[in-house]
Amino acid sequence: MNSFAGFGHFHQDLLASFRCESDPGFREEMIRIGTPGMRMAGVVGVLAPLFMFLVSLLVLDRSTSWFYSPELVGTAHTHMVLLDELLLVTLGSIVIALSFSHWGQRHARPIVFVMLVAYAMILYMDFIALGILETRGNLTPLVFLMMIALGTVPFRPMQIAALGVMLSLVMYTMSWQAPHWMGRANPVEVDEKTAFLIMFVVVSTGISVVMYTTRFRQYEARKQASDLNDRLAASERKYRSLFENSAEGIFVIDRQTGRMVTVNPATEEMLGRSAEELYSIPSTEIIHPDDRERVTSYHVARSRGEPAPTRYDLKLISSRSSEPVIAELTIHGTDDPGVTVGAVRDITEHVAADRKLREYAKTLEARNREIHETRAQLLQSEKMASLGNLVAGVAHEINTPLGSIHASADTSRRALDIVSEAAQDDECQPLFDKYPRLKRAVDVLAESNVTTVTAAERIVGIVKSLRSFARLDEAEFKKVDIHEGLESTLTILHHELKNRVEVVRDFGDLPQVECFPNQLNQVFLNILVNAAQAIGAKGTITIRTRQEGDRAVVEISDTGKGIAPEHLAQIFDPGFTTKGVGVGTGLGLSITYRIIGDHSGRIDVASEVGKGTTFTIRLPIERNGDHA
Amino acid sequence: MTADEKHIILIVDDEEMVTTSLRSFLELETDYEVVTFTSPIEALEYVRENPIDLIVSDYLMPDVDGISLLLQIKQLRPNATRVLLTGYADKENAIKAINDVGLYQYIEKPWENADVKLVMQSGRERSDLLRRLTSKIGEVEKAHGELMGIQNDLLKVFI
Repeated sequence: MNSFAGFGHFHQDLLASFRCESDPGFREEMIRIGTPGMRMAGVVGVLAPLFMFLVSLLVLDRSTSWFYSPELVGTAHTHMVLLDELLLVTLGSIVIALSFSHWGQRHARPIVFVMLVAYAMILYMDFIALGILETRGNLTPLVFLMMIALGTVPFRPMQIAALGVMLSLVMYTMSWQAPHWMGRANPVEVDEKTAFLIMFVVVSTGISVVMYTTRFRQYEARKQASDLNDRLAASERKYRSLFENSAEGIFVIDRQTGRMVTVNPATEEMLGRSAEELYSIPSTEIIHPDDRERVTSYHVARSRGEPAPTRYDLKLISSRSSEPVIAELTIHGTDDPGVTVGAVRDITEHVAADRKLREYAKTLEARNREIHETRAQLLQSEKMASLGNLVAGVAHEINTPLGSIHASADTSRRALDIVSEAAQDDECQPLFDKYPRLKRAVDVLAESNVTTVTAAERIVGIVKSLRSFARLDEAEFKKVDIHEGLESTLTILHHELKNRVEVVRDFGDLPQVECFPNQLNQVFLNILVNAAQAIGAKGTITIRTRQEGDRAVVEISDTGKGIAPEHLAQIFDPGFTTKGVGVGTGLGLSITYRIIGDHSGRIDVASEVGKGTTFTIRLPIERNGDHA
Repeated sequence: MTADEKHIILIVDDEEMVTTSLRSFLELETDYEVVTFTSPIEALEYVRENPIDLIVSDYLMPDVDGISLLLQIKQLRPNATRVLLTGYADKENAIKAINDVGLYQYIEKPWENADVKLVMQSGRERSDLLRRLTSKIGEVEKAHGELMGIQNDLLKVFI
């Protein structure tokens, strides 16, 4: 089309025409459209001589024509013309026949080329022979034939040019040689005819260039369009297959109607309904009633342009089972404001697995805690056992020197008593009077001895408490005096309590209680240590004991800071501590709880923040046979 | 044994401070002759050579423990009263051995001097009584033997 714009373009087109048949697709197309042209040329090639024959019959009859020279009618030349016309018909028929063969189709252009040249030769020879060349328009059949051939057979421009040159040569040569062949001179101005033919060839070459390149451009445009189409189709196929084969359910909802307009097979499968079914119901109907309101509110917000979550979990109703499908829904952005595009993924199993996992984790945690607890208790009891061993060992080691000190101090006291007594004696009096320092020395000795005795007695008491506390020999149920255990524990804690905590003993009448004495002492120690620590500066610990039926009750109250209500439920949990890392193990009370449990007793706690805490321990006085 | 003879009390403990403090107390408060040893072997040698009225032995000692010492002394001097001195931790074992040794009493460390004095006195009295009993039995047997001799003589005379 642009080829007409100027010679520059024409020139380019001309150059392009040399290259364009290197494109196999285009060449194929040229061959394809060459076939009907070939047939057309063949048909015209057959019909034209027949027409001429018919005309010549008429002419021969009438002896006059605008076509033939009248003087030649009925001569031998006329018979030659008839023979030539038969030749031409045969030529046309061969071309038609060839147009039906593969070989012929592939070589349409050379065949038609040869046909045209041969046709021109024969026709021209006839014309010369008939002496009709002088007649105007007598080249018309040939031109007509050429026009048809050129219009239908996609010759290359160069072929057209070559054809023109060939035809001109044929005409010129034949016209020039005619006198020799025919015995009569060519009456026509050959040069004029040839010039006309050359002009015609040049023009048709030009037209051919235009036509040919136009064809090529059309071909290219078509090819591009077809390529684009192919790509489009491929891409569509790809996305269609993605859509169809996706494991995620993909759906499109018309916002206006609230109904699904497109769903993929995964959606159908997930919801257990066919696409038609889904299209026929409001999309909210597939949402489980639990989630319907929530999801609808998101939808409303989204359609108003307000922010709404684009990924959330929801329960969907599936016709496949009575259980709802738990799905993860993702709303995808889309260019079309009229629709909502979303994807749903069935996470029911995932959620179930998750829940199972969580349960496992919980069990594991519980087991872990149990192990931790057991280990802690083991550790603690081991600690207590080794502490007991240590205490017993120390007590044993102290005993001998302590016994000696204690006894010696007592002996010294007795000895000094004797001396003091002697000092009263009349005989000794002057001696003491004479040496007042001796009297003083005796007094000092007596005094310091009193200190030694007091100190030794104190140590004796401590050692006794230590031994009683450790009670290593009592790893079995024994009947013991609870008060004794409390006392020895208090002695152990003496340094912790003195000057700071007043201990009030409100002991009732208690029979001996059957228990593990050392374990019970540990319980008292734990509670009393906690009480002492709960009391900030100064305070009171009150220990009450009484009998309630077949149970012994020990109540230990402090005036400490108390336990926060939210902690109260946790205080017997192993590892729970409010004392901070490194201060408390968080095990004391859990062990206490366990020990009381082992005794078939119970421990209760009542606390008020700022006022204090009371632990109440109830123990069966007699051990029942059913627990070891 | 006559009244003017001093009663001999033997004290054996591997800790000298124990023997010393016990001896000084007993020497101050009583008229017993107190002999102390820190080695049970030496104590045994002494017992072999000398009579004793009372033995106080520690339970836990190197070489020989208190129980076997007392057992050997029992064989050597059955009339001597045997007292065991024990620490707290060995009390159980000591008590188990009471019957084997024929223990008169045990004193727990740390001891009270007054208790010790009391045990010593009663123990000494016991051994005195035992000794007296033994001598009386000896006398009776001697008389019995004499009687039997007389009887034999009489029989010889009559038969």
